[in-house]
Amino acid sequence: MKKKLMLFSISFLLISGLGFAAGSKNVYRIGVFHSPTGVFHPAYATHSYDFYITRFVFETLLRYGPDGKLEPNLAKEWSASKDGTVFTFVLRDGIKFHDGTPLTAEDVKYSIEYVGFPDYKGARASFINAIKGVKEFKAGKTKDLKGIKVLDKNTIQITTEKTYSSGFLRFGINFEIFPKHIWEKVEVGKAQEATDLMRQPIGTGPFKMTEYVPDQYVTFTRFDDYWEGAPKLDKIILVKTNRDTAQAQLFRGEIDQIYPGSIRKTDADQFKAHGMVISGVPRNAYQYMTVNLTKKPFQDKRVRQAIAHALNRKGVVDNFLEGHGEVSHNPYPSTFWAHPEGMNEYKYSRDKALELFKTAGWNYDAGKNVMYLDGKPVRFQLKYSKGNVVREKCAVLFQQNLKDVGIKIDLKIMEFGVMYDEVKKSDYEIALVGQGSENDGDLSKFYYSDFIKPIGDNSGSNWIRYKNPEVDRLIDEGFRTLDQDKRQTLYRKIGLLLNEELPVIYIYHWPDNIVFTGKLKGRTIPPVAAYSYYYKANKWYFAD
Amino acid sequence: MRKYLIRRILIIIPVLFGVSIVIFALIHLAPGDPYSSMIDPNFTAEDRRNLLEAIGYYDPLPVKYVKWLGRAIQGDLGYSITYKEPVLSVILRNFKNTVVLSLTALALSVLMAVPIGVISATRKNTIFDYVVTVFSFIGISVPIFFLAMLLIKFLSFDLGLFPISGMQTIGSGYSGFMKFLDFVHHLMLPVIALALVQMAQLMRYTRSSMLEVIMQDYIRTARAKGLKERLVIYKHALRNALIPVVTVICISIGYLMSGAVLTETVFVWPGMGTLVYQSILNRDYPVVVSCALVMAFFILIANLIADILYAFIDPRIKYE
Repeated sequence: MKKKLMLFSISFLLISGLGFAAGSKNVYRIGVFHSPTGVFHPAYATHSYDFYITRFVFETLLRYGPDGKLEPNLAKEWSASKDGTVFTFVLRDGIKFHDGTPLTAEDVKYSIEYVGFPDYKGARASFINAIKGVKEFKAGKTKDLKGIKVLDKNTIQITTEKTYSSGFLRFGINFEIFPKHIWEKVEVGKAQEATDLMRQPIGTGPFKMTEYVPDQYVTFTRFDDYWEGAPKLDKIILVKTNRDTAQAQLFRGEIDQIYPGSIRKTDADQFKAHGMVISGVPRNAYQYMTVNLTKKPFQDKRVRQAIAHALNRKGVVDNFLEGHGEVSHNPYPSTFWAHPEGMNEYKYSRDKALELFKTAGWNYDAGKNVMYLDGKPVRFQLKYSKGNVVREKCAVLFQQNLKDVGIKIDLKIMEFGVMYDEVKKSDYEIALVGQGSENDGDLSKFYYSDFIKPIGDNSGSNWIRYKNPEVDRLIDEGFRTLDQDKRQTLYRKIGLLLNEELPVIYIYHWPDNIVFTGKLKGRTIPPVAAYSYYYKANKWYFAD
Repeated sequence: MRKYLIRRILIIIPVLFGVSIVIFALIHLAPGDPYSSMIDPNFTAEDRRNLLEAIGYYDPLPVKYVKWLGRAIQGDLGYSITYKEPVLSVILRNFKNTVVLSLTALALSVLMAVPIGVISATRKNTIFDYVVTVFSFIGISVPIFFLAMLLIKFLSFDLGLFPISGMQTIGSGYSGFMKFLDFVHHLMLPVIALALVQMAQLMRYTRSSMLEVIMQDYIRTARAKGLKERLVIYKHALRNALIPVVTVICISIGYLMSGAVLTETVFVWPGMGTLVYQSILNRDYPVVVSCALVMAFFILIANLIADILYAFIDPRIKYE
């Protein structure tokens, strides 16, 4: 028995003492909390974590630069006709795919028209709806998509049916370019079954993917023929990591970077003490409280403004987000170019709230602390989903805030998918939701009245069912222009209008956080969440 | 015996059938769909509907079940919705890892727990016995994810003895024997966590079962006829005390094969537990149902093995 124990402890010590290198040189490890699923095809990937691969291996015609504006990437020049219907992109010379084949305009054409092939089964079919002749092409009536023309081996021209203000963003940012010579051999409808091909993506990025082990890691190896110069790092590896131990692994040097979501102040101090860099990337998104606009009490904007005053939104940012975020007054965060000046901030004030409720005809009984509407005490149900800690805390805080003005709130916590379905059916009174906006500033998806569908049809993106002719008109005008200054004026106006109208009660904007080792140098992170994480990865290097 | 075996094996079929119906119904009744959680918000509702149509999401439940069953009987468990890969290869990949982790932990815990349990029973009410009892109480009461976190904190983070998670030092480029050592190095922490908890249980079973046997008349007889104490304990007593212990071990094999969800999650060990957990979150119906079947199968088999082992340990038990 003793011998056995001795043997065991000796081997135990031997193995643990071998001194495995915690982090070998020139390899950069990124911890991710979910394994990529292996669908590394730009036209088929839907899982958020697969984008960590597709947006790295493949590149787009344009990209966001350090100032948040579009800059050249695969395309060195881009232009649009005056009426905003013809978009021309000119590719750089000498770009090669990871297999050595040169990139041509044919690959670009293929990557865009791919989602319109009649047997395409992915989720991006709507991405090309603006292009001329797309209906005939999708139906299989024409062999070629009329609106896309290859002018020469480096030039591609895309023609849209109408003025398309999102054109550069759509064609320049939303389509990763993949090689035609590889994928044309596989039937479009069967691409998802070509597991092997899907898991060995060939793109043009600075690193090529060399190994994918499901549920463990993905390895990227330097691509020396990269058009912007050979990378300095040898490898970048995505490592599946447990959220609860990620911080410890970071400090021990097992990984070099994590995407921690929100950061508490105590964690932030820890990170800094260990020489980490915390980079908050603004997200063009907001968290809000939606009140059911199809129900009478909420159709009065004074009621919505009163609720905004009643909620302690600043408290949310200060205490729940611990300063990592900002109070929201409209859909655009202050880092975004369409963010307007001079908005009403709806400061936390019980008196203001009560006053507004009163002008809207609600009666408050101060003695009993009960709010009455049409002679009945006011009582609403608040639906919210599990999983987002801050949102869960908000629900409880807001319940208290509204109780202070005599409104009784019943909380109902639900699973996200279920809640979302019910909310879309307008089957709710009040709900807490989050919303992302398009990076080009267009708000049509959520506020344009054409996108309202009758109750029961969940496909309308304007499911809050907000209708305002003035907002519609401004959005329309925004659709029709590519002039950036003009769009800025228009979208700022929309921002101000929404701030006044409060179709939903805006709560906060929050950043996406990246925490990485201070030893990594040469990294710039443009202020556009999700799209900017690998910006110029070929320039990254370790300082010793 | 043979007749008995055949009957027991045949029973597995209807049980699996029942399990498949129940799991199939339950997972489909759960709200949400495969594209409700991790999908990029840029996709429109229309696009999502197309995706769901492509996987047959809108078929009525019985139709879905019959379709699935038809293929399953021919050995085709379908395609994973998340991984876009045959379910069988997903399961095999993860199953392998679970087997390594679970069997190592089990072996370690049996090797440690049985002798300790025996010693603690023979030296009842000594300090050794008290210490063992207290430890096994702690082991049974502490939730494993907490224990795992403590181990990580002390052994990995403070002392730096083991890597925190994963199966290998990623990007190390180890090969051959070094690769194996590296793997063992990564294996140790999850094994220790899992083994400690198992050990606590097994020790208690061994101890109480042993105590009961030692009181029996035939042990007194053996001692009276002058046999050495070691022979009495390890030959006469232990063999009889082992019967309930074997049951516990066999049943835990069944459960271990279905993956230690919490341990695997904490240590990012890509086994069956992680797979099931992820697949339920992603509503990956084909994978969830198939995993349930695999688990049910192993639990049934483990029970069968326990019954067979009885016959070997205790000659009085015969299956006719």
